[in-house]
Amino acid sequence: MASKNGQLQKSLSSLSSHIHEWSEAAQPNKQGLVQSKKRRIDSGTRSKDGSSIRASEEWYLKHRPRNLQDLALHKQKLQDVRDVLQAMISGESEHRILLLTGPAGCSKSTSVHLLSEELVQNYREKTCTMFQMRESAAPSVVEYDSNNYSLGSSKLDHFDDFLGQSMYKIGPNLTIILIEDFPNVFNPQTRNLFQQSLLRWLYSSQKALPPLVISLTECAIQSTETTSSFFSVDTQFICETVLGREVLSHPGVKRIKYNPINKTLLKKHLKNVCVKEREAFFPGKWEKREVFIKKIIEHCGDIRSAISALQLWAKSGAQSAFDIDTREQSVSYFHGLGKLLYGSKDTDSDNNTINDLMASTPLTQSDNLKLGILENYNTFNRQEFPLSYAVDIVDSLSMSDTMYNWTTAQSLSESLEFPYRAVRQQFSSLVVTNTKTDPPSHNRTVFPREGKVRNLVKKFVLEANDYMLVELNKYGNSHSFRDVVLCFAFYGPLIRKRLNFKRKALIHFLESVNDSTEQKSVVENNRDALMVNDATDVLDRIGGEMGIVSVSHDLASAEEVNHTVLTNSKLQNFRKLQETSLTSRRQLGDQNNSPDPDDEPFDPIIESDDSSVNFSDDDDEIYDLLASQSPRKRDKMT
Amino acid sequence: MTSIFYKDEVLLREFNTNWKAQLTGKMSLWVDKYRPKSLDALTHTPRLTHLLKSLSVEPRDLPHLLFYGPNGAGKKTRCMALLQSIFGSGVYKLKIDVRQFTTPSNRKLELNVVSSPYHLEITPSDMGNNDRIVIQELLKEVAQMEQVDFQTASGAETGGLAHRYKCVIINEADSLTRDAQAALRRTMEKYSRNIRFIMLCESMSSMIAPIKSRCLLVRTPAPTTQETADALVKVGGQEKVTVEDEAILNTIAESCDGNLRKALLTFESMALNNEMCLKSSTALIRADWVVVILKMANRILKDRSVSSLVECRATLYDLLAHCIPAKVIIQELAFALLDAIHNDNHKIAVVQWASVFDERLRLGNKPIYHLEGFIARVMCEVDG
Repeated sequence: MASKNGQLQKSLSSLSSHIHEWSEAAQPNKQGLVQSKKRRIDSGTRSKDGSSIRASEEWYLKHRPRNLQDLALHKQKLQDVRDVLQAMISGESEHRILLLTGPAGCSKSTSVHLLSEELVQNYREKTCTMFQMRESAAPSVVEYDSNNYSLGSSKLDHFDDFLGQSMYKIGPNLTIILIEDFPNVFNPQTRNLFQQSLLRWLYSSQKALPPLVISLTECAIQSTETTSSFFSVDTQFICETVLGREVLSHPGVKRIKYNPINKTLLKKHLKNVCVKEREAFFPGKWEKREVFIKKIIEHCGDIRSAISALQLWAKSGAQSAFDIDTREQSVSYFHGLGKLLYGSKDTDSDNNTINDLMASTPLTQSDNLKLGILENYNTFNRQEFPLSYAVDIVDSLSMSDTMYNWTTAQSLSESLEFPYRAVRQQFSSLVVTNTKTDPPSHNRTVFPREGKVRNLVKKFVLEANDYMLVELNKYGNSHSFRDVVLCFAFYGPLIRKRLNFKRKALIHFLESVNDSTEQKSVVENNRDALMVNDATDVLDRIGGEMGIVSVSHDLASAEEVNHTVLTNSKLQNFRKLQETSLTSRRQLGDQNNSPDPDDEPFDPIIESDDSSVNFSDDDDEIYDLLASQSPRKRDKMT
Repeated sequence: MTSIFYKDEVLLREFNTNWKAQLTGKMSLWVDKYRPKSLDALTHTPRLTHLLKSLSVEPRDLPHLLFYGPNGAGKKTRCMALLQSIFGSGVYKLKIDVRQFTTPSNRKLELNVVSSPYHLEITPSDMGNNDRIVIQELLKEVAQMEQVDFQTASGAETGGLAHRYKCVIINEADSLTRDAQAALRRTMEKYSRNIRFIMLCESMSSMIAPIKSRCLLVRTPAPTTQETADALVKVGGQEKVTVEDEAILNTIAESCDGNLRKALLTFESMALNNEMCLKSSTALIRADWVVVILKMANRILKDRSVSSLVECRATLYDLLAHCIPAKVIIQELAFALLDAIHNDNHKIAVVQWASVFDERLRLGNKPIYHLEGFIARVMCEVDG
C-alpha cells in the first residue's frame, strides 16, 4: 500500500509539475532547471525581469505569454473566466471557489496568473488609499505548495492551515489563492480533510473571502496494481474523485472546463515561436517547419508539449525526426466512450481509432470502459436501432468477460480489445444505413452503475449481518447468508412487521383489561407477537424494497454519499445491536430469574428510538380500535 | 423516553410479576419454532431418519458426513438433530465469536464463527477467496486444542465423548475453492481423532473426489408436495390457523418446490396477513425478488426492444444489489420464461442460451454482462 501510494504520489507530482520526461531526457544539460511548477514560475518571473534569460532555456518557458493577448485560449473562454474572477474579486459573486478543469497544457494556470495580475492590480488601485499604496507590490497570486512545511505543523493540517492564513488576504491585500498543487489526495484521510477544508471555506461565515481558484489537471493514471477497477482517485484523477460530490454540487463553486487547445490557435502560437527562435534552428530545418507544425497539431492539444516537441525537432540534427511523439494524450472516460460508440472524425478508419485508443490510454486497460459501453450503448441514436445490434454488443461484452483471468485478477488486453472492435463495427455498419436521412443524435452518456450497486451490496450485507446477529442473540437461531438472501431478507421483516402491529394492538387491549386471568390467557396466546420489539427487530426489507437501480449522471453521488451513510449505519447498527443483545438478554434473564452468568455489565442508558416517537401519538386511535376488536378475535381462536 | 417504550417497560414489569413462568423459551418465526430438535421429531423421509438414528447409536464411530440435497430440504435440521442425539441439547446453545485471520497479503480478515460447546460452524462464502487460510488456521486451532481435553476427560462416558471430538459443520461446502478442499482433505486425515466434519451442500458436483471418498454421503431429498402440506397442517394446527380449504396448502407447497423453509415462511406471512384464516382464494405471497423476476420474464416476452432491454438492466442491477446470486436469477428467469412460452422451438432456445450464459457466469467476473446477454438473446430468439 505504501509503495503504491509512493508510486502514485510520484506520478502525481510528475503530472502536476507537467514536466515531460521525454524533454528532460532529451536535454540532459538542463537537469534540475525545472523540477516543479513552483520553480518554473520563479524562473518565469525572473526571465520577465530580463535578468536571467539563457540561450538554452526551454522555449515554452521563454515564450510563455506575457499578456492576455498572447494567451492560447479561446476568447470566449477567457471572457468567462474573467467575468467570474472579476465578480469574485469585487465580492459581488456568490461563488467562492473557481474550479478550472481540463487536460494538461491548456493554459489553465497561465490564464489565472495573467488575469489576476490585471484584475488584482485594478482592484487594488481602486480601493487603496495613499497610505497603503506601497503594498501594491505584493504578489497578486498566492499558491499552495504541498512540500513547504513549516516546522511543527502536521502534515494533515497543512492545507487547512494554508487556507486559514489565506482567509484574510482581502481588502487592500486582496490576493487570489491558487491551488494547483494538491495535498496527497491518494490517501483517503488526507483527501477527506482536504475536502472538509474546502467545505469549511464554502460555508465560512466570513463575508468577504479572497477568490480561491483550483486548477485541476485531469488525467487517468495507469495503476500498476489492480485493486480498484472502479472509478476512484487511484485510477481517475478527475474533479469528481478528487473533490467529492459535496464540494462540486455546492452553489459556491463555479466550474469552468478547459478543452485541449484547438488547432488554429496552436498553429498560430507555434509559428510565432518559430519566428522568434529562427536563429536557433538547425540548418535545413527552417524550411520544413510548416510540415512539422501541421503534423504536431494533429495529435496534440497540449501547448507546452507541442512547443517542447518543436524545440527538440528544431535543434536536433536528425533529419528523420518527423515521427516525434508529442506528450501522449490520455483519453478520458467519456472521450473514449464517445470514440467507441459514435466513432471519431480525427482518424480515417475505425481500425486506427481503436489502435490509437488501445495504445494511448490506461483507460482501456480497466473494466471501466467495458462497463461504460454496457451502460451507454443504448444512447446511440436515442435507442433507435435494431435489437440484433444490441444482442451482438452485449454478447461480445459477455464473451470478453469470460476471458477474465482470476489468478491475476485482470482482464487480458486482447479480451478488452475484442468488445471495443465489436461495438465499433456494429455501430459503423449501422451509421452507413442511417446517415442518409439525418445525422444520428445520441443521448447523454453516463457513468456505469457498478459503483452504486457495489454500495448497495455493502449496505445489504451490513443489514443482513445485523439481521443474522439479532436472530442469533435474541432468538438463538443461526441462518446461512444464502438463506437470509433468498428467504429471510423478505419474509422475516414482513412477518415481524405484522407481529409488531399485532403487539401494539394487544398492548392497548391489555391495558384496558383488568382481569388478570384474561390478561394471562391473552399473553399465553400471543407470545410470539409480544416478543417483537421495533427497537430491536429488523422490520424493513433488508437492503430496501425491490425496485430498480437508476442511471447515475453523477459519479460522485454513488461514491461519497453512500460512503458516509454506510459508516453511520454501521455505527448505529453496532450500537443498536449491543443494546439489543443486552436488553433482550436482560429481559429474558429477569423473567427467568436467572441472569446469564457471563452477562456483561450492561449500560443502563437505553436510547430512545426516534422512529417510535412518530408512532405513539398519531396511531393511538387505530390501536384503540383494534384493541376493541381483539376479544372477538380471541374468541374465534379459542 | 417515548410513550410506547414506557408501555413496554410497564408491560415487562407486569410480566415479571405475573407471568414470569409463562414467557420462557425463545420465540421466533415458525420456521425456527417448529424446527425438529431431535431425531424422533423429524418428519419426512423416514428412511433417512432411520439411518441417522443408527449412526447415533455408536457415536464414537461417527464418520465424516456429507449431506447433499436441495435448499430447504432439511439438511441442517437433520445434522443438528444428529448432534443433539449425540451430545444432548447443549448443541443448541449457540454463541458467536469474531475471529481474526491474516491473509498472506497481510490483510486482516474478520469472520463470525457460530459455535456451541460441541461444534462450530463455518460458511466459506463469508471468507471469499481466502477460505483456505481460514480452514487451515481454524481447524488446526480446534484440532490441537482438543487433544488436551481428551487426556483429562477420558473417564465419564458422555463427558469423555463430548471432548473426544468436536464437530465442524461446513455450510455451503460446494462453494469451497479447490484449494480449500485440498487443504481440508489433509486436515481430515491428520486430525480425524479430534474432529468430525459434517458438510452440507446442494450439489456434489463441485466437491473433489478425495473428499467424497472420505465422507459418508447422505442424500437429503426434498419433501414431496404432500409432505410439505402435512408439515403446514401440523404447524397451522398448533398456531391456531383456520384453514378453510386444504387446497391452499397444496398451492403453497407446489409454489415452493419442496423448499420447506420457503413454504413455512410463506405460510406464516399469509396467515398473519389474513387474520390467521386461509381460504382457497387467499393470495399467495411470493418473495419480492421472485415477483420481480416473473414480471421481468413477462416484459421480455411482451416488449422486445432495446429500451425494454435497458429497463431490464436496471432491474437486474437491483437484484444483484440485493445479493441475489446471478445463477439463481438466470435459473428463475429461465423457468419463468419456459412457463410463459408456448412455442417449443422458443423453449429449446431459452434452455440453450440459459445454459450458455450460465457457464459464462461461472467463467466470468461481472454477472451483469451475462444476464443482460441472456435476456438480449431470448428477446432475439422470440422475435424470430
